[in-house]
Amino acid sequence: MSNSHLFLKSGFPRAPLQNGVGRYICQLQRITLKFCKNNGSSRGMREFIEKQLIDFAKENPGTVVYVKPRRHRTPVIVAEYLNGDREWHNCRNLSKEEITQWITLMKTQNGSSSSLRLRKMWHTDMPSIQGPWTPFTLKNPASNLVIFPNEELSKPLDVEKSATEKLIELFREQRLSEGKLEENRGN
Amino acid sequence: MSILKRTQQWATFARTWHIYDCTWQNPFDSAKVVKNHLMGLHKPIYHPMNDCGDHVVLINTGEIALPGDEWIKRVYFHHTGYPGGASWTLAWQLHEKDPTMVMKKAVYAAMKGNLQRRHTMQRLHLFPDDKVPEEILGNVTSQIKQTRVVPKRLDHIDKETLENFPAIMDYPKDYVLR
Amino acid sequence: MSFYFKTSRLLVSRCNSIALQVPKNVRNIKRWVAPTLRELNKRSKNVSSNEEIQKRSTFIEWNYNSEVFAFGKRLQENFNLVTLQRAFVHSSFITQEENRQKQLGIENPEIMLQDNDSLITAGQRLLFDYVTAFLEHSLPKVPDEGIRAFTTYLTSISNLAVISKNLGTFDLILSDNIDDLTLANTLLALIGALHESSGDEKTYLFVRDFICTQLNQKDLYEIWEISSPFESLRSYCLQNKLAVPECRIIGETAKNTVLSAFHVGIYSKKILIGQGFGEDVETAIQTASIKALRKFYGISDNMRPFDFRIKLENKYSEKVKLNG
Repeated sequence: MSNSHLFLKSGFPRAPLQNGVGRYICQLQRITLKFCKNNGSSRGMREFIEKQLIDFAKENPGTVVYVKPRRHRTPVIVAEYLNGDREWHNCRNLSKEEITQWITLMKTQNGSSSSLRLRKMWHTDMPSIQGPWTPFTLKNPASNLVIFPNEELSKPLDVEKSATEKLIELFREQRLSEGKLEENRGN
Repeated sequence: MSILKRTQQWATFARTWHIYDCTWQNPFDSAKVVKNHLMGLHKPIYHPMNDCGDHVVLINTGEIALPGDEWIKRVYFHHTGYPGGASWTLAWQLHEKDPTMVMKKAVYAAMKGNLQRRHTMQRLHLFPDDKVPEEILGNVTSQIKQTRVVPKRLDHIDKETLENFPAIMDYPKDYVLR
Repeated sequence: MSFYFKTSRLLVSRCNSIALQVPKNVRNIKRWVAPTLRELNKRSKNVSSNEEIQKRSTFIEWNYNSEVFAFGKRLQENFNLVTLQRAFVHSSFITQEENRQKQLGIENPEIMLQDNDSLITAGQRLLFDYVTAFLEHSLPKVPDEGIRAFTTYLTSISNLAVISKNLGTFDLILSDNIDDLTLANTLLALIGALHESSGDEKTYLFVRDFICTQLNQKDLYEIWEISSPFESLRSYCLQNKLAVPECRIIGETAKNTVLSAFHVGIYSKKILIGQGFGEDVETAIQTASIKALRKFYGISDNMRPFDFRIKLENKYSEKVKLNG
């Protein structure tokens, strides 16, 4: 977050009205193209209106398009969304292609994205399918019957055998083999 | 908030009470383990900003074992704030005055650099022996494993085991046992 | 408002230039930011209380017919345009217009508009039937009480108003004032209008796609709270010939403190049917029985998501017709 975002509204990415779960609704409600008929800065906008606007309107019957000529003013796009947002975009000296790109952006977003700082890039109301962790998760039920302090539970798990224990083991093995030897001799 | 969500939150952040037996344990190694439980570092939900630490009951702090010659070399410093108010106490002296103090200071020192440690220490309960009030013992539902095995004292081993213990070699008949 | 907006933009740009100069490891939100925000907020409140928000229909770039046409197309429905326009006209608007014309001196005011009252009543009935049919199909194990609770939630005025507003009806409604009830009624009228123009199947799909989908990712327990859950569980077990449920503590911590937590399991014939937590045993039993009931009803936390693609089959249309 930089300083330029201090006065910006913040939020999480959300689809309005579960958009797309049932059917997808284009969130761009209406778009107003304002331009000048003879100023050079509106050249791209005029080209767009001449060559592409009709196709755009046919492809997107759900978006109302208004065209508003005005003298010696900068070309502007004003997009209005279903959530009530109104986005104003300056198109001074933009080419036809650039305007197409901006309009495509407005058509595909669900509100004025530039006026919202995203706190996180994801959001969910269902945090876990397995259920949240608790201290009781994966706990051995036998531990309910233990009387504390318990000597057995206190012992460390990863203990190597001491020299004494190894020695006793050796001794036992030796006695076993001796016993076998004597048995063999007896036979 | 529905009762399900409320109790789920309650259970996730429930404070468990652990017990730890300090008999023959190195207090500085133990402090690292105890600290993890006190601060809640052993939980998957741990985050420095959330308060999920557990309670730890330390018993038998009078039976701790300091490594090497720490009993006589380790010095605890205190200053009253007045001129000439400095004092240095050896570990064995401190242990004589209060058998829980060495363990307490070890845990406190293990959390160095943590602004919350004074509050976290409130969740530590120390007892010099195994006499713990019923009220506190009733809360305990978990035991922390010791850091090392408690060695068995020779006079605690029964006579039969001692007699049956294998000898590496026999003493010569004329060997004089002192 | 725009003046303040511009000043805030100015502040932001100034703020940017300051940020470039400050060294690192220095508090980079300036001390003047909070007071400035407070002041701006205060001023914007004063402005909005004095000025009335201009309606969109008063703008030069406004064409009601294109707006209504686009509204239908946006929802991907083929509305009869006359019926659709009627759906937006409330009776209060007509009386208001008549009064205005009378004040202007016209003795027999004639308004060529028809109000949407009949559409609203038709829409209300259709909405209720389709929502109930959808819920009964999606949640077959839930008792009637639950279905009723979910239906009430989905068809409540606040819920319908939110949907209506997000579909873009706000600018098109003709009424003396626009509140939640007007917005909700407009949505009902739209359903009625769609039924008139496109028939059963399309209307059902509309209700499914816009109203039923509101249940997606919702915590169903927040909508329908089961009262006295342990008694309900016992009677459920009796009805379904299960053994009488028994409660057992299967975990507890800090039982002598105010922060005690209990984990209770409910068993029926030694089979665990539900487990829950609580600050005391009573609460834990309650949550455990709720969890058990939810599992039996098929609305547990990790239930299968709703299928929002099911179509109106013959049996449902028959049922709906029967209800109607």
